[in-house]
Parts: sequence; structure tokens; C-alpha cells
Amino acid sequence: MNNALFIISLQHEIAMAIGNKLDLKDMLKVFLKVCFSRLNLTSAHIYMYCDRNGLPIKLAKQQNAPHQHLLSIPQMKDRQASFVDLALSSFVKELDTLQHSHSRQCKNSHYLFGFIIPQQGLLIFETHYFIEETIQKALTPILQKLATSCYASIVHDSLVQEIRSRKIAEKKVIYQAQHDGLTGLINRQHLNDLLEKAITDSINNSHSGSIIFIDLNQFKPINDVMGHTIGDKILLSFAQKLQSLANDNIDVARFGGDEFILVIKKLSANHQQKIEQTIQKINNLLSTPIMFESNSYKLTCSIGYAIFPQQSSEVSNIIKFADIAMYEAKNAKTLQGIQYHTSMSDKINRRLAYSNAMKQSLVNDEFKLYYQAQYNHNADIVGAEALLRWQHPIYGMVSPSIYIPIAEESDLILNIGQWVLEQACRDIHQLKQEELLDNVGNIAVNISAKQLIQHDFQELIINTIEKNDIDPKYLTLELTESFLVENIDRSIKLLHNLKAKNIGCAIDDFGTGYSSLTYLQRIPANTLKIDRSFVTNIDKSKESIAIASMIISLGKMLNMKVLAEGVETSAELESLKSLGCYHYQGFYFSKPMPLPELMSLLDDKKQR
Amino acid sequence: MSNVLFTWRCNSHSISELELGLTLAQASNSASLLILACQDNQFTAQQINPLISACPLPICGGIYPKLIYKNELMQKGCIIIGFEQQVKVSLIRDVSTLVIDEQLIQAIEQTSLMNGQVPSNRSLLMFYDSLINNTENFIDCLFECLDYQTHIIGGGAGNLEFKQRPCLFTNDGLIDDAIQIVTLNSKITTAATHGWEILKGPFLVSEVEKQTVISLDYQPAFNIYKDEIESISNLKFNECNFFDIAKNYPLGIQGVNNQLIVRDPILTQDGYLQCVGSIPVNSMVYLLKGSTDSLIRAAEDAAIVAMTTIDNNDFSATIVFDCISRALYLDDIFSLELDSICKHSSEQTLFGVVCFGEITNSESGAIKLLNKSTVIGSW
Repeated sequence: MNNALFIISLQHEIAMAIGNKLDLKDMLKVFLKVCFSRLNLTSAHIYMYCDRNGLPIKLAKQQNAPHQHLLSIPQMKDRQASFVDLALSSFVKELDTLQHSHSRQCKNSHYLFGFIIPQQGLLIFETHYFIEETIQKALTPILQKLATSCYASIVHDSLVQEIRSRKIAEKKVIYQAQHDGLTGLINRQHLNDLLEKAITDSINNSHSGSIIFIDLNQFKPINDVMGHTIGDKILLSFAQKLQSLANDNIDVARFGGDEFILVIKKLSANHQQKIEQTIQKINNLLSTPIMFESNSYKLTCSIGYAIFPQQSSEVSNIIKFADIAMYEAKNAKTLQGIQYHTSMSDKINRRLAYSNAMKQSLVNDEFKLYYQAQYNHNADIVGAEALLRWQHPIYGMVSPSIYIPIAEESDLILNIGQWVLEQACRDIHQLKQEELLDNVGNIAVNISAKQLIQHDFQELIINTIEKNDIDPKYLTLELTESFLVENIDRSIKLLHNLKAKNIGCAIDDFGTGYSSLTYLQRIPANTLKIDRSFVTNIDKSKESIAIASMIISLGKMLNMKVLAEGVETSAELESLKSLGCYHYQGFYFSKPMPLPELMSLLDDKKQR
Repeated sequence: MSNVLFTWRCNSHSISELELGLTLAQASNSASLLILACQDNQFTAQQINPLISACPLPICGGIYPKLIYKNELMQKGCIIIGFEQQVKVSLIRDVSTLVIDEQLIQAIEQTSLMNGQVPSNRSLLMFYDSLINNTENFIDCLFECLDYQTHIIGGGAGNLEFKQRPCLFTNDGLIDDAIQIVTLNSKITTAATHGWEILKGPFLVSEVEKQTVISLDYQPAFNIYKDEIESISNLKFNECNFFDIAKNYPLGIQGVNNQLIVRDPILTQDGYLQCVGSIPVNSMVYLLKGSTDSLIRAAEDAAIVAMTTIDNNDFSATIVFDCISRALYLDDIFSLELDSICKHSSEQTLFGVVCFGEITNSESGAIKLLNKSTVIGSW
């Protein structure tokens, strides 16, 4: 009676230990621990049927699957994992083949008892005594309950795994949404969110923050010459260096291309020092060249910064301000960061106003062409350079040095350039009508860099010439030396084509570009124009004489006409003459003048 | 080998005596020290800490109600054992904060117990604060982590007022809420017996909360316990005498092969019985009784097993962890139990403690928390 009661109590106690945890391994561990204490076990082991990925499964009827060790108590035997034991391994194999309860006495007089956990796995007990048959049989219904609980845990584990996978995927999606794909830094969208929080925080807690805008200098040529693979590697390397500055109060973001932003939060009253230190650290990061495939890339950057909320509490504004300050630093060619100032925006606004005014002036025909005559040593007019003049109803006469750079920043220069070309051709046509064209020789028109790289530039020139019915030989295009050299192959091809059409070419501002003379030989130009900086006071400067002599010799060598710009005194003229330069342009001879005045001048000359 | 090189004892509660003993121990070329002290010395951490923190040797041990030296029961005083070789002392602190098995396993894995090359013949001594309530969880986790060939013996330290006070000697000072495991580089021979016999039962443990039995046979546990004892004796429970009676009538959990694991009821409240050590729900328990003869005979049986050499090499030491409730039950004739143990010793140092809860491996190898038992180990 007592024995029956004992077995029932044993059965209940062990059964009650099943399913107390959701995790499979934890659940089985609780079960084994109770078995241990109630059955006085020496060791206990569980093997589970698993799928190809090693995950426990429930076998379908007639299905076979390999079993894998899941759990042993104790974990170690003879200083190695328990399940490595040879006697145990062979017993497990035997049990799996038999697929019913089985026992064996081992050499050390211990017993191994094996039980099948239906459709789930194998349970092995090691004891120092023989477990009587009645107790073994009492375990059988428990095994079915254990199997059910195993299946519930497997389902639970797979759900947990699925939830975990989903969470990982969600995290990944969030990460990807917030981080730049190439560098892993915070992306622009996430930067906006972080910055908004930082600005709100700075307002609520009465402290400051700063946006540091970083742009790599001369990065585009690396991308163009070495290719985007190297360019990307350099960006990644720089991003990693920048990331080393990140901490709880500094966020590092990639804004786009080679532009990066640091958000510095919780700045104290003495924020200037902290910002300067950070800028110094950024420059220090670039002090060592970046190495790839035995090539060394020495980079610098331009840095601008703005302070929030003092300079703005709007995310877009504060970034824009730091960007503007960065451009100031770039123009100033300084590695020291420049802080944004409202005058910078004023300047930009002024530029914007000029830009709008230029557009309007094109429509209103407020641009004029002036012509400055070019002379030979006999004071004969041999040509004229067309010079753009802008007479604005409010701004008055605006200097080209102000509006041309503004026009060059946008495509406005193309419209203006085309207007100049067309007006010059119309004026050539008028000179022809007045039979003055042969007296002027040809008209030179300045061509901007942007015009030259237009894919249809050649067509535009030809069409304009044909539209105005003029002989191409009366038109000369003036291009700067530095631009020609930067686009050498394209320029040479274009100029050859234009030369074939009888259109002339002059190289403007020669001597300032310091370009390779090898290229010069390949450029089919007719005229070399000595830059005015070498002409002014040439009679008093040995250096200018040396350079002008070299240009003059070069012109002779390459069979080009050499013309000196900016001749203002007779002394300058005499010096140039003595050096063998016989073509001139400058106030000494005549100022730039409207077409009618030029025509009068030509008429006068013709009369004489 | 972790042979005993130095043995010192004194029956004085004076701190200066302990200081003298420590000085002698350090002069003895011992590599590590085991310090045992009686609770009645009333040593405080303030007194002890300067002494042990000044000692450069690894220190272990604890404060127990009474100590055993050969066949003498020491009410006051100290014993210092010096080991010839350095022993590793692994200390797990703040054990009561380690609530779940994962935390206990992590704490065990962080000790030197699991580090480095484990010698094949190592054995463990375990000294612990008996008032931590997760000792059994800890030893279950320890068994899970250790190689199953590892032998262990130990006992709970503390005082008869059942108040938690610093009771473990460590190089950091006297501390509580901790478990100390000392690795001996010797194989230890252990034996555990109790001598308690079935009086009534079995009773089904129908409701239990860890160490508190709420109901037996679906009735309030204390009611059953009280009725059974009062029916077979002249004893009557009142509000004050529970432990005086209960120390004579422990419970025994029936295991397979009819072995009994003794559980000592120490107090009753709201009809529940609180024991030292857990009693599983749905298990069967018996009401046990003891006799001076059965207890003393059992202790002698343990001594015979624990002090019988297997390979004819003499033991260097024998340590006894004897349950406080046996000393209280046997009272004046507890010396007979010590005599019965001592007479089986040879030249080795025989010493021990009277403790709260005894730890050793069962016959199967699993580590068990025992009550009212005599646990003896020799190496």
C-alpha cells in the first residue's frame, strides 16, 4: 500500500515538474532536477530530434530525424562534456534504434535507463542502483506529458525566435532608415530629428549647441580620377575617423556627398573653446594621409559652424547657416572653422537679388556690349574685344567683377553668354553693313567655362553666325588659359572644329594659369593675350619684363599673335615694343565704348 | 596534496588568543589557513578584521555554535588549521540577491572554481552563512556546473539566536550572506548518516512553499504533526515549547530505495511547519524519532566509512560537520557521539564543527543539504 502510494506520489511530483517554464531548455532542466532528487540520479541527459538547422522539432509519424544533445546534469564528466562519454553515446544510439524504454548496466556498476519522449527525443538517467520496474512503468505516462510540454515549448521557442527575428529586422530597418548606407553614420533625415530634439533641449535647459559643417576640399577630383570605389573608401575612412569624436553629446552625421555634420549638444557658456577644440580635432584626424593600395591621399576640409538656439532654433536654418559659413571658409581657403554671421546671409541675399535682376535685365535689354579697340604698333585698329556692360535702373552701372561670378554660379551665365554672342554677331553684321568691318579686323567675345562645356556649344556658335549672316573669320573666341587646360582634350577638339570654320581663338589672361607648355602647343589658338598684371608698370618691373618676354617668345615659336592687355602708359607701350610685342589693348589707346562710338572711331580712321 | 601542516586550538574566547594563534600559524610555513571559532567568543567584525586583513595567507572558515576537536566539544575558543599547500578559496558574496538559477550559475562560473586546469583529485569544503535561504538552489547549480566526480563536504555557519551576523572568515574580513568554497588538492572520503528512524507515516505533502510545509494529507501541517506526537507521547505543545519537542521529531522525506532525507522543523506559524531545507510537494514524508543509541551508532558508522583508507595511505585530517540539533538532542551524552567518531581516527588531525545544515554528496553523487546528520570527511 505504502509502495503504491509512494509511486503515485513520485509520479505526481515528477509530473508536476513538467511545463513550469516556457523555454524548452529551462523547462527540461526543472524536470530533470526533480527527477534527480526523487530518483536519486547520478546523471541525466536529454537528446532532442532536430531539423537540418539543429532546431528541435516534433516528428511526424514514421518520420526520422537525427537527435542532438540538448542538456546534461551535471554538465561535466571526467573533465569533459558529459555527453561525450562513450558509454552514454553508444547507449543513446541503441535507444534511438530500439525506440522503446531500455536499460543497461555499465562497467562501473552504474545503470543507464533510456526512455523515449514520444516524437520529441530521448531521456537518459544514470543511477547507482537499479530502478525497479514499477517505477520505470510509472514514468511512461509522464513521458507523454513531457512530449506535449516539449512541443508547446518548441512552438513557444519558435514564436520567441520569430519575434526576436522580427525585432532584429525592425531594428535593422530603423537603423537603415537612420543611417547612411556607405559610412554607417547618422543620415540626413535622422540628423534632422536629433537636431530638433537637441534644439528643444537647449531651449528648455538654457544651454547651447553647435552644428559643425564639414566639406572635404578637392574631393571631386579624387572621385573623377581614381573612381568612385576609391572615393567611397576615402569617405568611409574619414567617416570612421569622425565617428571617433562621437559621444553622448556629439552626434556625427553624413549630410551628403563629401559633406559631414557634427552636432555638439549641451555646450557650456564657454562654448567657443569647445568648438575650436573640436575643429582642431577634426583637422588632426586628417593630418595623417589616408592610405589605399599604396596610394596616399592627403585631405583637408573646410569647416563652418553655427550656434543654436542663439543663431536659429529652426533645424533647416541652423544647418543652412553652418553650410554658408563652410562656404566662406572654403572661399577663404582656411582650415580654421568660420562661424556663421548674418552678414554672410546678407551677401547671399544680395547675390540672389543680383541674379534675379540679371534675369530681368536680359528680358528688358539692359545689358550692353562695349568694344575696346585693339591696336598694332602703328596705332592701326586691328580688332576689338566685346565687353559686357550692365546698366541697371536701380543699381546703376554694375562692375562685371561683381555680377559675372554670380552669373557663373548658376546657369545664368549661359543665357548671358548667348546674349553676348548673338549681340556681337548682330554688331558684326552692322559693321559689315556700314562697311567698317575690314577696318576693325575681328571682334573677340569672351566665352565662359560653362558655355564651353555645353554639348551643343559648337552648334550654337555656327547657328548664331549663320543667323546673322556674317563671315566667321570676323569672330574670335577668348578663353582663359586655366579653363582650357582643365578641359584640354575637349577644348582642343572643339577649337580645331571652330578653326576649320575660320573662327579665331585667343587665349586670355595668359601667364596666370601656370599651365604646362606642352598643352599650349596643342591648342589651335591665333592669339596669346598677355595678362594685364604683367603689363602694368612693365617698364619698372624686371619680373614682368621677364615673363612678357617669355610669352612673346612663346607666341613667336607657336606662330601666335601676342597681344598685351591693359596698356595705359607710353612707357609701358615702349617697353612692350622693345620686347617685340606689337599688338595692344588698353586705356592708352582707347576705352571700351558703345558700338556707335566704335563706328565713329573706325570712320575717323577710315577718313584719314 | 592539501596536508595539514599546523594545528592550533584554544578554549579561550579572548581575541588576543586568536591573534597569538594566527601569529604562530603564519610562522609555521603554512600556505593557507582554516579558522573556526565558537559563537560564544562573541567576536565582532571590528575585532577580527584587523587581524585577518593583516594576514598574507589565504583564509577560510567560519563561526559556529560549537567546535569539535578530537572527542572534545568546544563551547568557546578557536581552531586554526594550517595547510601545507595553498588552497584556492572561491567566495560568492551577496548570495541572497542571486534569485534565479542563471544568476547562481553565473556567480559560480565567475569564481576560480571553474577557471584553469581542474585537478582530477580535487575536493571541496563548503562554509556558508546558514541564514541564506537559497542554499539548496546553490548546491543544485554547483552540482550542475562541477564535474560529477567532485566530492564536497560542508556545513552552515551562524549562531543559535538565528540572527544574521558576519560569520565567515575571508581575507576581506568577517562577512555574512556568502558561500565559501575551498578547493583541496586531495581526494576526500566522505560519509553521512543520521540514525533517525520512522515513527509514523507516510503523509502526503499536499501543499508546500519552499521550506514551509503548509499541509500534510490536505490538513494543516502543524495539526497533523502535533496530533501524531501528542498521541504517542506525553508531550503537549504550547506557545513556547515547539522547538524543544520538535528537535526530537524530525520529518523524513522518502526517496527511492527507502532512504530518508531528514528535515528539521524549526518553527510553526499559522499552522505551517517551517523546516531547514526544502520538502517537495507531492512527496511522502514520515514522522521520525531518534534514540541516543541509534544516533550514536549512526555517527560511528559514518566515522568508520569516512576514516577507512582505501589505498593504505594515512589521512592527514578528518573534518566533522555535526548537526546542532544532534548536540541539542543528545545534550550531555553528545560526548559519546564524539567518542564514537574519535575512536576510529589514527594519527590524523580530527576537528570539526557543530553546524546548521550539512552538505555532502549522496551515494548517487548529487550534492545534498542534510539536516540532523553527521557528515565526516577525511583526506
